[in-house]
Amino acid sequence: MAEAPHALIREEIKEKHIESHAPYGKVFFGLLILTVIEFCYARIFKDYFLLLILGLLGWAIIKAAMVGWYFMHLKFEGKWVYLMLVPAGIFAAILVFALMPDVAFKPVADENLRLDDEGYHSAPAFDPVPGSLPWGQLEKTHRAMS
Amino acid sequence: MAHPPAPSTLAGAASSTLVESVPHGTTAAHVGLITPGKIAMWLFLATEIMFFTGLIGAYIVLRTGSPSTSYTNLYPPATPFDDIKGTYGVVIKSIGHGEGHAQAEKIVHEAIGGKPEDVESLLHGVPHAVVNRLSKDAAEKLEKQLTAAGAEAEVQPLETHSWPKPYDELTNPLSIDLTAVNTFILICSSLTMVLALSAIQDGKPGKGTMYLLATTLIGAVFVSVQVYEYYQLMVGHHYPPGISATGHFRPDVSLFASCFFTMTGFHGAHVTGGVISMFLIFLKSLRGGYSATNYHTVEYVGLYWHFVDLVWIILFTIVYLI
Repeated sequence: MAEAPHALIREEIKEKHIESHAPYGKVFFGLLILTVIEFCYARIFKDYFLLLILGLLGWAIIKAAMVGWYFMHLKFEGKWVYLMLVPAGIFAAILVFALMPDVAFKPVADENLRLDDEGYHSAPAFDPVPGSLPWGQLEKTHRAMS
Repeated sequence: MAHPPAPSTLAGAASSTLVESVPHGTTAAHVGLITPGKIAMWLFLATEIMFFTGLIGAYIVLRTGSPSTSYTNLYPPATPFDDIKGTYGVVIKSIGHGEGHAQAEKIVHEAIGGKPEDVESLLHGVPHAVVNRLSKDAAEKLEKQLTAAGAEAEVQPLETHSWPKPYDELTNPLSIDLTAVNTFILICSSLTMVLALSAIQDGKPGKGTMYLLATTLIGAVFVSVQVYEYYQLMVGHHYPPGISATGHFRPDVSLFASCFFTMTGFHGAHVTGGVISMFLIFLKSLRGGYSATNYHTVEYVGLYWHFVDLVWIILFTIVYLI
């Protein structure tokens, strides 16, 4: 019982030695330079949406990875951390993609809206294959219901 | 007399099985010690990932689904497009003083009608004051009259956007320059935080205490700048109609505004919580509460602080720059 803590302390010292001598200064300057690049990039490509979004997200992911890898010590952690992070990331992604069809594709649905005689919109549904939904039938049903 | 082992040692002993199960060929030194506190903090951060991804995801979904005519350079957000299609506006960038000012006021009053207070309120928006709902001829006539009166004005056709564009002063009130500086400030605080932990691990608690103080102060500066930004947006400035019908950028003026305040507000609350936690561990450190064998609380707060920094890097990019 007396030996185990000593062994752990040796490991802890090694771990601390590595962590406390990580290249924090270099990482900091890297983050600063990337922030300046990001700032200039956003000014230069502000009118080119695709270039803007791809470039800026790329810079942001690199910066976020640097913070996680060095400052949050992911570099020095075991794989157990990913057992928590990966499922959380998957659930979060599911949340986003599950909402996409209902909300993000709404403009497509807007184009398919029809006005009835009183000027009300009817049948605000997403048409997966344009022209495949029986709009005339839906309008008749709507009028019958109202 | 045997001294009780330090809490960190007990935590390490509890996880010795995990440390020993490292694959052959990997040195234990390269694997961080697993303590219950660290597991709890990472679990908490996992929930935070879901929370912020929920917010960011909702933002992406709402932005993607925003109709292409939601924002215009001349009218308040979500004005029905059929009512304004084909209209023109005049943007008044500067207005003369004395007699020229009075003359310009009179010209604008003739153009928009209404009460004198309405004209005053409109001209309060200079250099982005907008006279809208004009035909092309009426807009050109108004521009000539204003220029003759010593004002600087420009005719603008209607432009529509699905979301406010960065650097577009007629639809987007956010100050990217100020926030870029604030991002720099937060990155600096991440450096001082990691140096604080490093100093304490190295057996230099005095140096670590100073770094903790620096992190607390820099974090407080970040929050202060954000409060200043909120004040300017909500009270301090009068914005053109393309940003807000009321002239102030508040959560209820548009979907963009509510998304902005929700995301940056929750992040600001997290930073505030971090600053308070940092201040508490600074006080403990000041009383000699941390050492080379007892540094785990600093490590946990540091993990939280870096996570908040990481989230801001993403938020700054997608809310301000894109």
